[in-house]
Amino acid sequence: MKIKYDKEIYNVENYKEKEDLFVKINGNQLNYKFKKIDENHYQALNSNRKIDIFIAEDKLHKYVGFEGKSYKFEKISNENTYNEVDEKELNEEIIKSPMPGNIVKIIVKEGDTVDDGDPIIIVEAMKMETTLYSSITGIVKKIYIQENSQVDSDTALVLIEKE
Amino acid sequence: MIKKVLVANRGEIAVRIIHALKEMDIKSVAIYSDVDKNAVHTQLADESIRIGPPPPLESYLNQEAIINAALETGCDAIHPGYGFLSERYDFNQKVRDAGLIFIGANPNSMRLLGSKVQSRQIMAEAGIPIIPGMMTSTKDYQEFEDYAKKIGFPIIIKSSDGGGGKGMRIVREMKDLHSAIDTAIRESISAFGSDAIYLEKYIENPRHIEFQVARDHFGNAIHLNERECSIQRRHQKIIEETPSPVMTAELRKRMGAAAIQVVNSANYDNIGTVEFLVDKDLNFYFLEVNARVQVEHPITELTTGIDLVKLQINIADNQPIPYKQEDVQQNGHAIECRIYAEDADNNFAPSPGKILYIKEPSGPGIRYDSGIDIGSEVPTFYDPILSKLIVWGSTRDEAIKRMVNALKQTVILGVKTPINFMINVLNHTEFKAGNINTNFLSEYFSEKIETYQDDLQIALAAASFSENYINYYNNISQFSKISNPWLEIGKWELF
Repeated sequence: MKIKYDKEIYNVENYKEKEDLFVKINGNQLNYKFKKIDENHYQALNSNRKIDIFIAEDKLHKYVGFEGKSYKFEKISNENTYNEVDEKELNEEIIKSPMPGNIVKIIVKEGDTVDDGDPIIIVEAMKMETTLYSSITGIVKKIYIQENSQVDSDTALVLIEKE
Repeated sequence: MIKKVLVANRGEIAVRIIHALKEMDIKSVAIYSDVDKNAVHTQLADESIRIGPPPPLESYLNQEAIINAALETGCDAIHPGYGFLSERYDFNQKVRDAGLIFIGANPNSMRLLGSKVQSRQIMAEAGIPIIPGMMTSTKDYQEFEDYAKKIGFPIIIKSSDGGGGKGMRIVREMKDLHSAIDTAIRESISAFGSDAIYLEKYIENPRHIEFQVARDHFGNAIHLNERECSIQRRHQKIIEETPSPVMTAELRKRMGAAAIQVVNSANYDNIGTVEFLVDKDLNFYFLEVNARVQVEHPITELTTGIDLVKLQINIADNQPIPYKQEDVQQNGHAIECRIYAEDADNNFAPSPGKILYIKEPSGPGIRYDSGIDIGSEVPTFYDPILSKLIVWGSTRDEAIKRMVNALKQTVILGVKTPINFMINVLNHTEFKAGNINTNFLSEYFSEKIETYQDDLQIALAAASFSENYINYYNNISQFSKISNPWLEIGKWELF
């Protein structure tokens, strides 16, 4: 299987040795064997460490937590989507809502020229306002939402294209 | 005699109050908005009553609906918790006008102290040091500009009726002043239903030290020592401790006396908190009074042995405070970590969602106050606090170690939490040395905490193992050869 983390893709393989299950990541064996304790509770063990690991999942994600740290993995159905998006991402930026919330203010209008770092939109959730900024220099091509509308996490808000 | 109380709040503080009521053999009524129908507080109370749709103004801030609910269910008192209506003197008065007991200070005192600008006026008259700034609130850009020029940047804009860091903006340059005023007004209206804002000189790198106080209807007043709440992000406390690492018996005596003078000057008559900023030379300035129970009240409970919520209810019920100042103990050291649904790697942006799994910490000296359960939704409408982890230790060092261990035990899956972030803070050399101030996090933790490759690999491996476990048992001998569902699913992305 392949897992993507922070723009890097990791190749994770499970394999059995004697009666124990091990894992290889990018071809290197991880020095832990794994045990299942119950539906959400797993353990990774080696000669001097035991780590209790907790895992839960929903439709689209798998959540892994241990020793205060937590990780969220998302299922991606089609490998090719990535390459297409990656290429497109070079020339445009879609500003998405980082959380479900209310659009307080749209600072730009379609056709505006914006610089890298310019504020674009203000979203409010849980009583806190978060300003979203452009990470490229370009032109505001499309605004998908209106002020005071409710949006979900990852909703596309504004499309900015490089000049 | 109070027999039945409506708890006009939600989440962990509603749960905390209901526990106190149960111990006092007082019946409890929870209120809930549509998104909280199955929430922990709704289920825990003896009765629960729907108050409206999710937006706060239609539910937990809906004064008439809440008072009607209390009357309909035969309550004789309302406990407001913190946030929401807890410091609204108009609500306080309406509760009393309806013939109910408001569990908190009298409305006049609350009006004076709850308004930051008015309390600044009273304290200045009483000779208590205050931070330079406006003595009245305004919306006039010109007035803000004039004041900012007069006292010099940086300045901080605050909601006069607010608290908890909301509606607050630091401004370092004139060009940012107008937008900061606009934002502060919007946040203040949204969070507190008030557009009164004002400006103060922003004191760089102070410590935030507050005193828990209690005053009854007979004029008896005591303080229950200090809490240091300097570890803040977005002007909101996330780690609090008592005693303060810089506190001396002499300073405690002076600050405690000032705190008592504050509540005496305002004829305050319940538990409350007097907040001070303390500079590097240990000069202290009155900041504000929180006329309600504080989020961080448990650390005082663990070190003094006094249950503040019960004390609050008893004072409201016209009983005298059963302790004298000399009875108040300070035993050991306590720390609280607030666990919010938020992303510590992304400027602490809220992270609402569904709680998929929880493992609560346990062990000696550990208290866990929680408002969530597996399956709980963390709605976007309210403050995203999930729970509070509180530990007691005989020394500060022991309390820090105990907290780190307890945080490592705590698992909350489904939303992001700052648990790992707080472990890093507690393990920081300067934190351990007690060298903290309100800018500690921006000074030492402005960069995203690095993901260790070893930890990431274990997480990746565990994710893969949990998915393939079934195959492992179905066909042990051919495990590595059989069809691999991961290849069919495709890639996973971590974010």
